[in-house]
Amino acid sequence: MTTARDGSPRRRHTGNLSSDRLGALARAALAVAGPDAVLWAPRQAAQRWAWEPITSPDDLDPRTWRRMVNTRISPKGILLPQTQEVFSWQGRTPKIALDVPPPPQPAVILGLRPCDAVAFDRLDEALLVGEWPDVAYARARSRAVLVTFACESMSPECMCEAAGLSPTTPSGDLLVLPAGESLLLEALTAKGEAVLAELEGREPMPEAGSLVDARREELAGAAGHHAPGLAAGQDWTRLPPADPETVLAMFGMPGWEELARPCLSCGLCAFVCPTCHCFALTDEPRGDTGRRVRTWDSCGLTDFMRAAGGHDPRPAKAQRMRQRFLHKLVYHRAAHGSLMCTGCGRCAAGCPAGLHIATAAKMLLAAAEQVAQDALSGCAAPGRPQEDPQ
Amino acid sequence: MSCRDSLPVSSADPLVPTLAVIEQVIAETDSGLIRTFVIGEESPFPYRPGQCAMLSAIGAGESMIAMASTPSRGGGLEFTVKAVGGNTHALHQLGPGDQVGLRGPYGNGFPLERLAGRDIAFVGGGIGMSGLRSLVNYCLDDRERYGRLTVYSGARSPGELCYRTELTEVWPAAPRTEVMVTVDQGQPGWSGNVGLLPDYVAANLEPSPDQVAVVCGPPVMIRYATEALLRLGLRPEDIILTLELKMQCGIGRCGRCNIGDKYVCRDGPVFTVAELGRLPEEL
Repeated sequence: MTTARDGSPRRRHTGNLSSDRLGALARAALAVAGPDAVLWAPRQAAQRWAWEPITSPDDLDPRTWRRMVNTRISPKGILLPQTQEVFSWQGRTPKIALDVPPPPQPAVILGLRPCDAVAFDRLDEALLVGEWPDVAYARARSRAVLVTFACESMSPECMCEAAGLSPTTPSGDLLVLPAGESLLLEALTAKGEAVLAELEGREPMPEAGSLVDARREELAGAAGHHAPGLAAGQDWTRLPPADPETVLAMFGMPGWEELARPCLSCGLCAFVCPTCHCFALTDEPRGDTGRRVRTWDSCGLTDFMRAAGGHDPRPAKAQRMRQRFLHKLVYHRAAHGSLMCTGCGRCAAGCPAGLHIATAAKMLLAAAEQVAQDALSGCAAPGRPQEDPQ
Repeated sequence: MSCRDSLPVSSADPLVPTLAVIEQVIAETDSGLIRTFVIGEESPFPYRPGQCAMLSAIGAGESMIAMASTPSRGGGLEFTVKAVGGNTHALHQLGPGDQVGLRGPYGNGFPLERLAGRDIAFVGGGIGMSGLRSLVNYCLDDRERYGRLTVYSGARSPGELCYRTELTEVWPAAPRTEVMVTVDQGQPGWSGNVGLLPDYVAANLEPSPDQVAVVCGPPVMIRYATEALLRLGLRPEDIILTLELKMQCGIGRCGRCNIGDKYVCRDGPVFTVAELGRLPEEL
């Protein structure tokens, strides 16, 4: 017995499927997700890979995905749409009536990369843990089935290893390791189990336990050979647990201004990020009706914190950039124990100003090291008053 | 970690308000820019002093507002609202019988257990008195439980003071309760103090060994009042602040009020100065 990712005790459950039977896997996942489920998979259009709803699963060819490092835009929006109605209203006071939208159709997300699958775990932490869970996200997430495909190739933009992950990190409900003409499957959650059981009822399929282990090792080794990017050699999991003194030292680093200078405050980094989840609520009245919508937002955008009356605690772009990087690499970890960056690399690849999270991570690692050294030598961190021994 | 198997998928979306009805509107100030709205005949939810709720003129947005009423008395919820932005201006257009969107209660509220037996100085600047009013009345309704109460209230001018009946008649008549009022600028007929609230507190508060202070107001007032209280010898853990910050979801999800690993709407809005000292200074 072992323990699944969702905590359920289980027997290891694997399968070896011919790669031309991907359609059958998709159908099994759709059956588990529910009768009105929508299948999403990467499709190449105009030189870019994009997530699209797929109506004919049998046309999917996983061999074409070998050319894809990842989709241009993350699959986040499938479960956390860029624009989502919270409620609508009709009539004017005192005769207003509210109406809530129907729950979303369940989604099967097939072919997502480990960095993007792990990103949903980070969103679960940010949006579901605690007293007031984000019910709209919970509804979409609880019904979704995630079928992850391990990476056979990487690009210099890939940074999963710096984020403590790998091209084969067990993530999602079911992990698929492509191996030549085979798809080696391993169930990771109760939902993944259900998909494998459903598939076995349709297709005779041998177990693949030792093949899975061997292929995982192969792919992990191959991943190290990609052209190194800025994050090469970095290990962000070495950032220390966020004790207040270290956090304040990182916050007070002089380098933020310099780092932020080229930033255009365009928000692209947040919108392509699979874990960024800040949102805005906006009323859209039209005559006597209207709706309140929830839309993606970013802590890096101008006026994000500006209150009615004008008070804005972060008027400078360096302050906003600092917030975004510290939230990803430090604050989320303090609250949930994990980095809120999975190293997908989209922010760095897409930034029109050439900004890179690895540059910020390097500064943070250096600041943390300085605090540790100061502690050893008995000095207070710069800018912090020494504790009164009384 | 994964929490997908225990999702509250059947529960209602906390971002969807319920509709509540305005029972009464009270003009607080001469300018008319500050009004108190009494919502419903009873509160739709239990709450503690210092907690907030989202109040919405449907179609004009939502604002996080502290409850100005106390749960120790029955009746509807009271919110004192200054017309500053789109939603608060739209709220000011509404009167008795009109509907508003309401959701809450949000935030931690004041640490009532830690206030028991203590001498409390309430320091409220302008509209910041609203959350403190809930606490003052809560304490007065269980008067034996608390020590000496001193209310320091400040406003820009005499005409901008909120809760004038309570400040001049009700609270001064309560046992072991003192009210100290100051305005930034006097006007003919004003015989009270003229001067900034933090200076007024610094000149008049003689902290007892059991002293705590509870402060609310605009960010700059909070900063100077905190400095004054520290100089008077109050310990950082005995200075309790309730913060004003832009908030949208109220439930610690939208990211707007995130400071360090805290969300002011959910983990606050009440923090001690000691707690804030462990967070990045971004208020």
